[in-house]
Amino acid sequence: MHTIIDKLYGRRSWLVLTAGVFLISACNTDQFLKATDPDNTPPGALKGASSLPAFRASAIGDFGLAFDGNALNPDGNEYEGLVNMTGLLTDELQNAETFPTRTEVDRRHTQVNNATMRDIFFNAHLARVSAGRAAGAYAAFGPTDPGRSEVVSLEAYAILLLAEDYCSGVPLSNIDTATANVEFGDPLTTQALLQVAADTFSAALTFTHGDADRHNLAEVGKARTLQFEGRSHLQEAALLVGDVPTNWTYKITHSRNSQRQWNGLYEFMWLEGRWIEADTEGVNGLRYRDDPRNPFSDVGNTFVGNHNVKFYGTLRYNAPDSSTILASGIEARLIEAEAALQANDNVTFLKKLNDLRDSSGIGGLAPLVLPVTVTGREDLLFSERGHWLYLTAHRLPDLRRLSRSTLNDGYGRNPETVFPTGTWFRGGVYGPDVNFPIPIEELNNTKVPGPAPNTCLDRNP
Amino acid sequence: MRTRFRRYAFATGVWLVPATALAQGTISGKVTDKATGIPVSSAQVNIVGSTRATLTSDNGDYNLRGVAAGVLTLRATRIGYAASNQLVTVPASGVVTADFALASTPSKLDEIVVSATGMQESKREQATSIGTIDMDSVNLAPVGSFSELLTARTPGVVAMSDGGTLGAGTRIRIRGSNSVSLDNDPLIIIDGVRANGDEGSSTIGVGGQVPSRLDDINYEDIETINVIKGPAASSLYGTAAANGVIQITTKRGSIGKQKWSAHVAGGSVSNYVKFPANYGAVDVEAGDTVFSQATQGAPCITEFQAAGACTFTGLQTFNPLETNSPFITGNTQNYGLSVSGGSDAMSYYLSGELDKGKGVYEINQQRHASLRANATAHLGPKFDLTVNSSFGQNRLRLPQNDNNVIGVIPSGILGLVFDDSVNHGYAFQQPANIFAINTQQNTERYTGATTGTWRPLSWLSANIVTGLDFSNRIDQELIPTYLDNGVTPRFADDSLGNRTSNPFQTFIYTLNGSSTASYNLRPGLSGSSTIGTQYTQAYRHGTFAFGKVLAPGTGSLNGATQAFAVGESTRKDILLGAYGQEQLNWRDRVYLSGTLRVDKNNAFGRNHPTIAYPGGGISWVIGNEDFFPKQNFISQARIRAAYGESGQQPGFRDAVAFFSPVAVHVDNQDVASFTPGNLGNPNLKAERTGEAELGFEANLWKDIFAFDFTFYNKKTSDALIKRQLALSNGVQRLFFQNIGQVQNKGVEMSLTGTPFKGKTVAWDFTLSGSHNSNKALKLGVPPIIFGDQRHQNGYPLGGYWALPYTFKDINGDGAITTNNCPGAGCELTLGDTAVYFGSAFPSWDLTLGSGITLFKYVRVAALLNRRTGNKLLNFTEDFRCLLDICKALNQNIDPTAKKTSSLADQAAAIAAQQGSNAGFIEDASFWKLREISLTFSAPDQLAHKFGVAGLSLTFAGRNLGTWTKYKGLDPETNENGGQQFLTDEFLTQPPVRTYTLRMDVRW
Repeated sequence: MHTIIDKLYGRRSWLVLTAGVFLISACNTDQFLKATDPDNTPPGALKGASSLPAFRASAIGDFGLAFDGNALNPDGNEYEGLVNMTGLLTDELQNAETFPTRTEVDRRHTQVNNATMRDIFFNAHLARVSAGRAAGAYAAFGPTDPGRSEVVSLEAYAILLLAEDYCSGVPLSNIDTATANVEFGDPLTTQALLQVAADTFSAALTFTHGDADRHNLAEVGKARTLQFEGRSHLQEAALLVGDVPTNWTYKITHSRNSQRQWNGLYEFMWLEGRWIEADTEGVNGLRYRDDPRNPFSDVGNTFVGNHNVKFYGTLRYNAPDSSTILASGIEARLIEAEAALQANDNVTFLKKLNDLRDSSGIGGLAPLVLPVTVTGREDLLFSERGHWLYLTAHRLPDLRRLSRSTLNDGYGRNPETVFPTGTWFRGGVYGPDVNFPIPIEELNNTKVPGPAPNTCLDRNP
Repeated sequence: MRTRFRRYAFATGVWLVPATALAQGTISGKVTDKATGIPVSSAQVNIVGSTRATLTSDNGDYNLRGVAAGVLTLRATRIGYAASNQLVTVPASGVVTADFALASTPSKLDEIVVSATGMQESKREQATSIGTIDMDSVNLAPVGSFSELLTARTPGVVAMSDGGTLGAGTRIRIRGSNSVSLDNDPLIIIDGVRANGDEGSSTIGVGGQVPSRLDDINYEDIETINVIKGPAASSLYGTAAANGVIQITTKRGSIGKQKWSAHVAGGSVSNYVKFPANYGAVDVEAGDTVFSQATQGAPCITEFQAAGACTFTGLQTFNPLETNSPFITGNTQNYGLSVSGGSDAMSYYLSGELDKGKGVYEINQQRHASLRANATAHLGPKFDLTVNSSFGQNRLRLPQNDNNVIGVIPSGILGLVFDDSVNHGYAFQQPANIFAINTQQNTERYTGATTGTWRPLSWLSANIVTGLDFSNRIDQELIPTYLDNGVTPRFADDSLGNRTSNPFQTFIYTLNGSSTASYNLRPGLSGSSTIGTQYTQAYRHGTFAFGKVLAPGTGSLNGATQAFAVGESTRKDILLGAYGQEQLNWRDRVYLSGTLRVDKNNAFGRNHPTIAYPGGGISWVIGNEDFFPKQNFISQARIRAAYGESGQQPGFRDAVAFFSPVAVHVDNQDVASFTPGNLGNPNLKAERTGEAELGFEANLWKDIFAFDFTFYNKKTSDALIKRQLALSNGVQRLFFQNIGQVQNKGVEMSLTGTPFKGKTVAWDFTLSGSHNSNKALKLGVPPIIFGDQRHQNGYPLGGYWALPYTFKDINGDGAITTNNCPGAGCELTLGDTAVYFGSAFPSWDLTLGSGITLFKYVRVAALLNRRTGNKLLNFTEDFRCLLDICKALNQNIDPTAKKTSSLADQAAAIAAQQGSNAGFIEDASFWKLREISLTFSAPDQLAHKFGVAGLSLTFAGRNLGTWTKYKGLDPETNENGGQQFLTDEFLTQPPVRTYTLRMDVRW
């Protein structure tokens, strides 16, 4: 019986099959494996002066992620920022929900394996490296573009925030994106880190090319760095910011466009009800809800999963596109006021504070009276700073400066008199943290001595 | 000799001389049961040493046409029977008759399996253990999904249920987890084509439970499932087969008259687990008469009492899940109809199935419909064409649970200690609010395979398989506006309504080609050579769309007015492989095989474009040797040994560098920008897993019992490790490198038999078990820690680690507190370093399946399953203690008061508050009565009265009993079922109990 198949192919037809096999093996099989990836940007696509806006936006976007978080990242996660978490560690925010990682921070007892803080530490370095990458692009393709100063300032701010918010020992590592080789950074003392930040701000000042906004940004940043270095640097800091207008601000802006662009402060407070605006938290906390500079609402989030915690949301960040102030003329005046206090110029000190109140246009801000004691004047200064700079990542460095010993150029207060202390409002007691520990994952840096949980050079520098 | 050389040479690619034409005849005959004389249908009759084979009809008849004249050996095989050979002299023209009478046996040596080359081979030729689930032997009444079908059926295959959510998937592991960073899911092949078996298949979170694409498969259509357990057997499958292969063969029609069958089933689904109440110690004197949401404050827990902060005046408890229960008794409905039949020219199988179900929540619903058409055309003695196609449609609505503030169980079990007027004791949301969320997954799936088999010469055949497995999945969620229904959840701005619509398509193409030449080298020594190529392409594409603030009355993205978000996901994995296999058969007693496969894959780094996987083995049916003593105790025996390698590809983008595009708000406008995506690693290559396997089978005691034992030792080298980089690099946190080694070794055994087979009573059983020891030999990095689990050298992957603690009631008040810590009065002390507490995966899996048949018509069967060797983090209770609402923390400090929790329980709770979950990492060993069924098969006479050929009625129950020391909801729950290693019970719906009544009819 002969079938159609037989007729078509005959009994030698297997020769065809054999030939086919050899042909397949002989041809260039790589062509069968080609697949394009339309979803992402290959590194080679970013070059030339035309890429500078994208580099600048990348630096700003990644800084914003580290600074005040977002609602949804391309990796599918939402991230808190340093503003959020420093607010939680200090008296600005209270944790209102159940996540242990945030509870730890609010209770001043952050563990080195805290996953929330792991992300934030990485994002701070992401901000630093992205700004540095952008600075490199400007150096190559637009060295006189004032945007160069801005991204260098953002790099410096990222370093400054690491110094202000973390224990001593933060390394600044780098990675070669071409080879994926990591150049591990040495753990840097807080002072060394501040020096790097100051140098970087100085560089930013040389790249402004007449752009006032970029100039102000670098000046306020450098002044803030000097301020955190110690009281002995306050006069130099005040001189730096003398020409910054009081009504000037540099904001990390947000948009409703995509959820990565949302302000994380809004997302986590207003949408998810995870924090509330605090008031006299832990004995020492400021009365934020009793000050017109910190308007709040106790309606707007009716989520009742907060286990006996009533909602108080700050109106500063009550929309996805609310901006967060990174630097401002108000901060400049407050630095000048502190410098005046340091110089025992109480008149200037009080005038600087009252001028801010007068010019703010905020009702209900009565003129201040000069306290009799030095301690009282210091309390007044830091209270004013606390209210003016509420939830902008200034409170933690302020409390650290207050509790830093006078030998180290600080105000010499006992940390338990400035940080929230005593019984935590939902049980247990506050811990001893005055900053964040370096996450345990940093032990993959061979230059970090360890062992876990010893990731810091000094837990309380 | 010249001919033998020529055939051998052809197969190896150097053939020079064409074959000559041969005269042809026909073999026909009948296959019957030796004991009863009843025809045996679907028995395979094949010509030994060739690729020719056919199946018997319902009457046991078969025909083999176009057979070359001469003397040959014909073999008949059928599951449950010993193979039978006979010499046949085929005339130059005309017909020769060869009848077979097969003897039943518990031995599985002559079961037929489909090899990687597409050829059918008996298990005796396989040098490895291949698990087989013969669907004829499975009572489908208590089975609710493909995952349940796999549960406790085959030693070495561990199906770990995530819980009791209808439509949620199951984690399948075969011989442990090989990979630290990649999927450990087995490769799924349906009728020769690669199929989508994604175990975590969803883009919308409902807290933890995710569907598995495995459960798209309509198990009613399956004829046989072969489980190729590891690389020793799967090397020819190449990259992707390191985790084993589940090879599914769907039903085919057989020669004979048309057969119809139908089934209808209905049943109930119920939650049987008791949930714990919420506890709160009250200090009435302090004004805490009840806890109120309007007041801030904490319960008067033991610690506070001991510290003098409050005085215990009473204990308040409430259980919203019991008092204001969200549960219902769900139901299942199954309807199926199939027809099959065929002639010498063509056979077919057509089926339709409709399954509907409702879980233990009103909104947890599923409707699954499927159609299948399989046909085989015999286009002459030299060419067969088989077309298999199935289409399925699934509509699934999932509830919110697990790690989820808008979950039902979370709201209840983390809820209040009183029945409040607003939420009725639920913490976050009332069930009605949660049920307003409509999370659906709608799936259409087509799986088609076309197999052409060409036998140009009696000793030569070629196979071409083309196939497509297509899934169109739409993950969608609608949270209607509060204005529309008055019950929308009040989390975030959910009350404004939002809509998510994520359509995803997956196309998996298969193109296989192979050619096999069979030859006789000398009397008693035959062999075959196979060469083949394989091309698979898995293209996955999806879009994400989201919008908030819905216009009243709307339910689509059209109605969304804010917060629009879109995204797109593209992935194309392409594999190109070539392989060769040599097999030798010496006197049908010794079988040798050697294989080599070479793969290219577009996910490999550019520095490692190809990988080769060798394999080989020997199977020796020693019981057939003359020297083997003829006695009753061991009546047949085989020993075997094999080694093979296969692999697992890196992810599609893991080897390449890229930036991820993002939008950034700059200068009052949104501009296109980027953020680091991946560094890339050009050195990435496939993970290579090599496995050595030794085993033996024996028929015991006059063939009443069959015993099967296998030892394997599997080692994964070049394991891809997601290496944690120092965070301070600021570009990437995790980086893939081939730097790890993982070992799995273990044993599998089974004992099957029919110890008693009388006229009125017959008893059969299967006792099987497996043990797997998993260990990370080398990670190349510090321990990889994820929560309370970690990968650490020398320990099982994903093992539980925690800070140990010690405790002592120093002041004798019956309560453990840390009020006097640190110091001599400290009653609980935490260790400094985390220690290993146990594996998250069971090491032992034992199954006893047994059935008793009474008067031929009544059968009672049960399936009992034991798992042990694993721990489970009871994070539900742990978390309740963190919230101060667990029983252990709300003890009365008064020494005269009766304590309701042991010191150990109190210590576990206190330790959790101090940062150690060690006290809640509990022994998760269990015995489970998986199934009981009672089947009544009507006698033929009775069936005929109804006008049908066969009729049976089955009443079955599933998940009928659990015996465990585990203190949580159920030891078989997991909030992270779609994940590779993350395992814990956290506010998860535990397994549910089902009762089913099913009627099967044949005519």
